[in-house]
Amino acid sequence: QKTLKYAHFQPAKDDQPKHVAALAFKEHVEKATNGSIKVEIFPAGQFGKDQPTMEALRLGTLEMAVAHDGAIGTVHKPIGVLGIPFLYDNHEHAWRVYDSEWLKGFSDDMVKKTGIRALGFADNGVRHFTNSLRPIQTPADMKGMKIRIQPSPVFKALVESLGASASAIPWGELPTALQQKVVDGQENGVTNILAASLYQHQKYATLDGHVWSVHGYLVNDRFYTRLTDVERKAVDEGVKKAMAIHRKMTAEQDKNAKKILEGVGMQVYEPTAAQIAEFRKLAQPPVRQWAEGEIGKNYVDALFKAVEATRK
Amino acid sequence: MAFSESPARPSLAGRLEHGFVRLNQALIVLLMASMAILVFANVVMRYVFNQSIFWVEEFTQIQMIWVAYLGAGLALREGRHVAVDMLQDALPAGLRHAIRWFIALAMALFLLTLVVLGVQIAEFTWNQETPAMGLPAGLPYLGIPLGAAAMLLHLLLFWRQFVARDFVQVEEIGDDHAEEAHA
Amino acid sequence: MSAVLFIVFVVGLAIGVPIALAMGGAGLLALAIDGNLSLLSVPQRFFDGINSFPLMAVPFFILAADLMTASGITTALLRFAGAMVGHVRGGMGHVNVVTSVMFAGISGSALADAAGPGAIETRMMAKSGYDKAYSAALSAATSVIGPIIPPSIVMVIYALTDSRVTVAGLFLAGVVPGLLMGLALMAMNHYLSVKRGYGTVGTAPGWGVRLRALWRATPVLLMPAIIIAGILTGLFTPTEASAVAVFYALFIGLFVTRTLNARLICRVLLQSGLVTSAALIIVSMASLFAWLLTLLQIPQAIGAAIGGMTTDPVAIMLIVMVFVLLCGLFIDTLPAVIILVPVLAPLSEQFGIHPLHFAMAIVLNLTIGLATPPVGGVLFVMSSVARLRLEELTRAILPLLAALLVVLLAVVLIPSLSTFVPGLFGYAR
Ligand code: NA
Ligand code: NA
Repeated sequence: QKTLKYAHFQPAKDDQPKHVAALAFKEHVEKATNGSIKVEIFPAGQFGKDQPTMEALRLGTLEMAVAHDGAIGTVHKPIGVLGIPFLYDNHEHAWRVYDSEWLKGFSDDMVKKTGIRALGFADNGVRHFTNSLRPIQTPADMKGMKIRIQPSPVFKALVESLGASASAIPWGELPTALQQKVVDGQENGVTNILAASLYQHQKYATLDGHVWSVHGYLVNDRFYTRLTDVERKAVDEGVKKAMAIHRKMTAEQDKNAKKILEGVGMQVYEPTAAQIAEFRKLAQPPVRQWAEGEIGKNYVDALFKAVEATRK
Repeated sequence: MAFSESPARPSLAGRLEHGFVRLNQALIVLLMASMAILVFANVVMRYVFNQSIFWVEEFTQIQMIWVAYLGAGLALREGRHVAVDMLQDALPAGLRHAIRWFIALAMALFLLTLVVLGVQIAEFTWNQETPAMGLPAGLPYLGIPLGAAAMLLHLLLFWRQFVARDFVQVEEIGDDHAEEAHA
Repeated sequence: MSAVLFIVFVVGLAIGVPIALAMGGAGLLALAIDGNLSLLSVPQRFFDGINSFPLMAVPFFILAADLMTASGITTALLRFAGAMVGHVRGGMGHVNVVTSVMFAGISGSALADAAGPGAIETRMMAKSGYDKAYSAALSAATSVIGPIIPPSIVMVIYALTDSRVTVAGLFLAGVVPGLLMGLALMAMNHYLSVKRGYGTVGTAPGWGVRLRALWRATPVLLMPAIIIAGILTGLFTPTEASAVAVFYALFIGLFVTRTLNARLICRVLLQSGLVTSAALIIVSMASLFAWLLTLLQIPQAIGAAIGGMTTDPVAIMLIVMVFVLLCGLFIDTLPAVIILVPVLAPLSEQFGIHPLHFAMAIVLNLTIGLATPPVGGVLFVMSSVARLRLEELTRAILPLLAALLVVLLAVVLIPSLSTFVPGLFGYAR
């Protein structure tokens, strides 16, 4: 019998997409392999924080993980291309990109460099700006705002291209920092805005959807290739099932963002297509240029090719 | 006093050991000062210039890990690692000596292993990059094997005193003012 | 694997291997013998355990307190406490308590209090005719107020292991219990002093003397105010507050008391660095130990076992407290937090116990454990500082521990003692 340790970073609750997906994966795999694989789930970062989890995947100390792009970036920088803002038209468009040939190219490269295989990508929520000063309708409204970012140069480039100043603050200190107006605003998906009750100190939300964060379904390649055909098929199908749940639950939240955020008392603005275009015009070229220089033109081009090919 | 703890003996070995201790001490002083200055400067930057230095968090975190491991050998000399001595105290001197010897040996083996494993993990992660500064991700890890190596060296040099529990007595900060309070 | 982990740890601890290395070594051997997981997990966990920005408050609070102490500020505190309560029966004992309560506002650790002011207070009490063992015991008991009144190192680490509580919230939660500890120890000191005839009754110093003493102590008393106010008004995050505290202490030492110089600052940086090292190595190596427990699914089992005994939150709380108290007898505070909190915190969620209330009770419980035999860091420090046998010190501290346990019981049974102050500032939802 093989043990498949499966780590993710969400609390073990049944309203958490990544945990529900993990449970579905476990059920499918254990059943489809007749118990030849035992799945042990380590939720809520129990197995470790992001970088050590990724390294454990490389070492084979951990067999599978569902990890956000920031975590993946600690061992494989090219994931950063997904941080280029304003890439997709809607969820379905993003999913078509994730499921396209691009995945195989990306994954093969990652296997070669890290020994980790990406079996697929699901959403980590579309990121929006919130702040405590005024409604952001156009980039001009962001002038001079202090926006919290994760300590990542991509987001620094993004926020600064829109005329705001970027302040790197750890996630754990964010609620306090917002309450105390250390920064005026921040950018996150709906899940995170709810999870840390950020709405308590952020009156305005703008559903600009600048970046589509992802979660990668990752497996240690050595473990994966040594599975029997039946087992590998079970894992592949388990991931498909899990991702379907994961995408659906997250997208539901994303698509109801206005209602959800208004429900917790925020004033929500949905930019028009023209305003989004204005955001894109300012933010995309500098970040794309940054990515081409820092990550590699081939990675950026491959992604843009997939984005254009799947646009309907 | 901390900076004159091992008076230079005339022998070369003694002078080398003294130099090693001083170097290690200087490193800790520098790291601590740099951490404090950078984090404080970042607060000031945010208020005065309305933006923060985005690599400070990552860089000072690395320094903290280095302080933790590179200070461990000096902390060993000063008997600062908490241990339970009760059983030892209850034993006859000969047996106590034997147990202290065994502890020192076990610690030396552990530290040696940690040096090897630490170098391996640093090597393993060297091609990864840290998120903010793009430094080799192995660099923060490197503090562990370097610190373990330094601690091992301290332990070997300090072996006899460690076994005898004859730790370096440092005057605690503030003691100089103690008598004043009696007045 | 679990057998190796526990046996190596317990034997190592018992024969006197430094606690950090006993945990690290046990983890390493368990992994090596199991053979299924890469040994590189060892340095990786060591790293992960201390790779955290909020943790940086630990070195900074240590450094700030050391700078303050180096500025000769303890003297000002002792003088002020002496002017206020020195003249009543058991006065020197009260001075000891009050000084520790004030020192708690600049120091985040009990050991710092025991080794610094504690040593001086013990000498002063013994000189004034108090029984030496009692003097040392009172200094030991009062020093555990240090990590309860903010700032607090153990609270910083607790907040890292339980995402539902914040450092700021926990700091605020500690204010009332910390003051209660002071009151309880003063009450017990009064009772014992009357019974044993400690200290003489003198005349109260005039208000002029008292105000002058207060004025000299003001820079110290301002430090916790700056830290807390800075965090609450949003000037800075807790980690930044700790760095600000360092520069405040530096400013006081350089320009107010004018006792600091480059040489002394270097000494302070070195000493704080080594204290930081010793503390963080424990955190670092304990996290390997805690991680292995998680892999072995032991937390889940213990949680289920406790959760299966009863469904009454108060009963759960009491069972948890007994369990923690037993662990605290043998494990040091920091490793205990790292190992136990992931095991126990889910229970508070499951049974609807307020996370801050739960956290406060555990922190207080484990901190009291610093002053209990057989493994109590504060006892070790005091016995070496006062050159007393551990047995003597233990006997003398028992009534004082009883007073502290009464406070613990109150904190366990009355949630608002922990949640009221944080609630005032919106930290206890
Ligand atoms: Na304190
Ligand atoms: Na005291």
